[in-house]
Amino acid sequence: MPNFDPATLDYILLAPQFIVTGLIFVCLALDLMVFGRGHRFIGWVAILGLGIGIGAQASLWGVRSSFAGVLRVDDYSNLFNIIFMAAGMGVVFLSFDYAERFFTQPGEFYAFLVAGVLGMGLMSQAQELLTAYIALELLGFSSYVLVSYAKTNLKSNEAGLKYIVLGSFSSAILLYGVSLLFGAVGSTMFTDIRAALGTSVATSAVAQIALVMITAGLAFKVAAVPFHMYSPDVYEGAPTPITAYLSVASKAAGFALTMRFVVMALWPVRGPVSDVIAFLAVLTMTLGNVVALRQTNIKRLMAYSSIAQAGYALIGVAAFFAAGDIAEQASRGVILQLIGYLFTTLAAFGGIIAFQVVADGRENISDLAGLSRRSPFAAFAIMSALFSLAGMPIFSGFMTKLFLFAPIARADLLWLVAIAVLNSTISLYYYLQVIRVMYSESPAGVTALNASTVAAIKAASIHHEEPVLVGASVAHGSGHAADSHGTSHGSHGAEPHGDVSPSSAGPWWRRRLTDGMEPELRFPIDPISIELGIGITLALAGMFALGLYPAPFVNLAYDASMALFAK
Amino acid sequence: MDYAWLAPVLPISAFALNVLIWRQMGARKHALSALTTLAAIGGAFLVFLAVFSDASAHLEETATSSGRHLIFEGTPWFTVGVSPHLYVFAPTLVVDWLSIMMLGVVTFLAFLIEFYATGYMKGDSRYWWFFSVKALFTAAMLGVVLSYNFLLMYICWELVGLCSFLLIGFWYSERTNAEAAKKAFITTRVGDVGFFIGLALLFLKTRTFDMKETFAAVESGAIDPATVTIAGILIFLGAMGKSGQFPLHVWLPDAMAGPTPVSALVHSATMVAAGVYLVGRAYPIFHASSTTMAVITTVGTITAIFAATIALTQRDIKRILAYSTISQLGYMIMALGVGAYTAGLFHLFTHAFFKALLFLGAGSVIHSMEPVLHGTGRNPNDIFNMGGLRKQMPVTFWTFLIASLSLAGIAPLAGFWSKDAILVGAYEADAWLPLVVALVTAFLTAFYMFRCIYLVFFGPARWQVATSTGDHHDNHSTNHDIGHHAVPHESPWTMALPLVLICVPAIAAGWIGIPGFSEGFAETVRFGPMIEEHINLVLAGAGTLAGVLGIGLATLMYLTPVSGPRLISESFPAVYKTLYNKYYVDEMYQWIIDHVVLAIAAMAATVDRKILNDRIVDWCGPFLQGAGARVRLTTSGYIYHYAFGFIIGIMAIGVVMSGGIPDMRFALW
Repeated sequence: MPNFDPATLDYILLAPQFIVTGLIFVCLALDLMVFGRGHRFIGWVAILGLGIGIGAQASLWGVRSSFAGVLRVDDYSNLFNIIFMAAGMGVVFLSFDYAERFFTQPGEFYAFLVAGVLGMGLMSQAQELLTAYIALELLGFSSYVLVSYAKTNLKSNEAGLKYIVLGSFSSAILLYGVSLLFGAVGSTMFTDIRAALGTSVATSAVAQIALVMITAGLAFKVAAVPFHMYSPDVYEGAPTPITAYLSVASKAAGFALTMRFVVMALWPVRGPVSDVIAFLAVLTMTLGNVVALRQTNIKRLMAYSSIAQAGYALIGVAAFFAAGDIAEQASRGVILQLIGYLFTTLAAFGGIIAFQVVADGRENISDLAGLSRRSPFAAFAIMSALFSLAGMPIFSGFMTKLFLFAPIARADLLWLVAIAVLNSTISLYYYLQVIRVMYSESPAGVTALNASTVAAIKAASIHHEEPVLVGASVAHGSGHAADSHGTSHGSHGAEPHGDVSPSSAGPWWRRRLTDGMEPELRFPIDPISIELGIGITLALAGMFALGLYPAPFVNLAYDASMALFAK
Repeated sequence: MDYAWLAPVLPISAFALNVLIWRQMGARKHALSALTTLAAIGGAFLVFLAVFSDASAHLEETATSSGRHLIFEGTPWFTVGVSPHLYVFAPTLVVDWLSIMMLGVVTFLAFLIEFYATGYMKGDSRYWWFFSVKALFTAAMLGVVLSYNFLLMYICWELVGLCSFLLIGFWYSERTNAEAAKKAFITTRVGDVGFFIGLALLFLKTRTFDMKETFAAVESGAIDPATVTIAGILIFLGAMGKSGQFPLHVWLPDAMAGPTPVSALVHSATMVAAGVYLVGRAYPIFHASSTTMAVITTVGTITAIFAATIALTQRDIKRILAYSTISQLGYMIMALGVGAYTAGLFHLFTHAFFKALLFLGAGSVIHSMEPVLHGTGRNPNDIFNMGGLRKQMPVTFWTFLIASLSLAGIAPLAGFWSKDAILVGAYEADAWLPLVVALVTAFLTAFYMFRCIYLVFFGPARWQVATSTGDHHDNHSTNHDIGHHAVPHESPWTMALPLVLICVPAIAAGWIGIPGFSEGFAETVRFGPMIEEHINLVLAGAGTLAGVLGIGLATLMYLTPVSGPRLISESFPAVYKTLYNKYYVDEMYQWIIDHVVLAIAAMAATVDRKILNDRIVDWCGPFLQGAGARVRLTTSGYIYHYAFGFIIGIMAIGVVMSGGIPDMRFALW
């Protein structure tokens, strides 16, 4: 039972949450003091504060306690809090340029972001329905504001409106379910619900309708089909960093609460609940992938892709009914999938934002043409992320899917795995489409220079502007080689040395290894800010780390799953 | 000793540095890549020196009945299997005399050949890529050498195959080079598939890839003998592919399409020796089955003489050396097959040096012939376009001569001692046929090497005159370039210096294997108890005689006015044509591919196209796309549609959930 006696409360347990709460006010206060590019300072403060929060949360590792009986502090909530703060940091990294470019008042943005992080953290800690509801609303309200933050953008406003109306609708239904359940059980504590569901209460119509409604409310949060319909519109209209934030963090928070609720409260009725979740999972991944095939907008595509990925994670929850340690393994798989999805999505959206910042916010897939030559790093980030989402090896997606599907197969849900794998195959199609556009089409508006045009230019003795022929001045910098400029060296076929005689002018110490080599072709490279670069690099590093050496992440997920299932 | 892992890690770091960072540096990337690679390989060589100097003491401390080796377990990488049969994969490295020997050979030769390549590859537009791949190759090769885990070894094994592919096809714009690269990759793949199946078979029985545990299981009889035999032969297939053993040898001569430093390092000294090394490393598996040993002996024996006879008639200097390499690898395999473990690996050790030296010498010759024959349409690799080069290229000539003498088995050069060890080994194993074949091969080897030397370095300077004085079928020389006055010249110092330096081990590497030499080869690299070796004067005499006879015959035929070659080839045209066309093995493969493989492929393609593609796949795509287009319309943009969807969802959940709780159906409806 809740116990709010101030004398017995252990405030240290919530230290990270106090830090994050303080950070919200620091960000708001700073916004009053800085102008113009100063918002970057607020962003860095937010990153620093979340970093401190992560440190504080990590110092609670291994604790298994609860705050006033309503907030559970264990490795499960610790890990999720760290995930959310890391996601918040990542999104802040991605936001600097975007905020500067598209927002009129970027300062408060960070405060709302951090507020959302606090809400998500509390969702993972809640072991009482009303606390969970309040945390969910804290996340919801800050998300509504963030989605419509680009005030001058009509799509952003539309998305915000849709999100708030449908969000209110879903939380009304959730709250209705909560109140019905309270009526049936007489308590909102998860443990009490669990105890009551073990008795004849489980067969009462009130309890069952309540369960249906609560499930629907949670399904809305993870955007499971058919509660997903808001998400493509909202994801498309929201500022791009917020799209990343919603698809990564908000969804993960939904999963954190769902898994906790299923394990702590719904355990006696986990059979039917698993059926429902398996049903939703099949619908979710199939619809997400199939509809994604026809998308032309990259953000909408990512929204459907995100729906599909949530479907994969849902089948992990569907395996909770299985006997033995399979449920623990499945929860580990879900947690790993969420961590991998965090890195992957941040990398993908980092690339997209890098593109949008220079491309005036364009977001059609066809606009990405030739990105590999304009912004090789951004294109590489997007490519790696898409391969990861499709579940290709060496990227995190492969490992997380392996850890996710293996226990489900052991739980005799092979048919679910089969559907998931078929869906992965379908998804490869639209992911590869994007990669094809980025890598094999020419950048719009920039003349593609290939070897023949270079030869033509040379033959006509036209000196092309320097940035295009990078290396020309270096390769022909020394005097004796200057005469070779403009002559064709031909290709190096069976003759390894072309026209370059080994005994050409000068003693060996004056000769350069590079004499007589062709200059390189380059396209002008789009700039990428240091903050965005750091964000993408960190996301990619996490993605590859998880894909190549998953052991540390598996250990974290192991501790979390043990805490989740602790008696 | 626990720093041995640095040896492969240094070059692979250089590779990463080259392709990730230096690549962005514009024109400077070439010099930076070359320097980085050289530094990394030099560092690996220093690691070898340190390991070598520590080895005696440490290996003696850990000496057990099963051998002297130190095993270093890496961090576990991943775990596979379900709980009773869990296998934790950890990269395990081994340091014993065998791996130390290979470590020395690879790092020493790689360093000098890389140095040589800085001169040889000068001016190439993908200079940096050459050195990057060479760094990757060195790392992978050292990985093969050091790994004590079959899976890790297989990974590195495939990586060297990849590097070989990239390097053979380095000048891929020439179609033949690209074809050669493909051929090498696919042919070795045939062997590698066998290797992999063999490993899988052993894994099924032992549930481990760890060599130590596998060997222990084989020796304790935990695996039934039939499986050991089959797995052994399958693993040996991998060695056959990599080491160019008959009938998987066809790729190696074509692989000479790569740059000469590649031929010297990858296709003569190190990668092709990996097959022999594998036989040596996994010897307990092969040794446990007499059938496997017989297969190994047979393959080695056939290859040794088969390739030597082909080498007699080849015209391309690098192809002669390639067939010579195949023949010598057959020699080593044969020695391992008859049980002469030390002798086979000793020959691997000495052969690496003098064969690398021969290739570098050939590269030096080709390098100087290219400007001379440029524009004449004549092949700079053809020994009948050379001649008299000893005056123009003294360094190349003397080093090439020493290496050839060493290969021919003339005392006291390196090749003599190892060849003698193989002869003694075959004699003591009572393997008469291999012994005779070894002697005949020794004779043939001496003959074709001196045929090559006489045609390249002696006689008239055929590069001066318009028409070739070659003996036959020389229809590609032209008359239109009489005014060409370029003269061959000695190669630059970056190329000449490695020649001289590699000359030292080509002369002296054999001395550590002289019977009775303490701490020498016989005592260190061995399988089972040490065998006290002694010089068998009759065999030593016979081996030397075979070499001298071969040299003598070559002198008679190519250095004197007697027109021997023409006489012989015209007397036995069928034999000559068979040898010149390499026993028509390539043609046979081509026939099989055309008439069997492609026929099956055509049938499969029909099924694939008509049924799978036209009926199933072509239906799938539009169906899914159409479904996507229709379902997409449900996301109409209207909030009330979305709310309606929400309510449908609640009802659906209710239906599904009520299916799970029997009483609920009554409660709800």
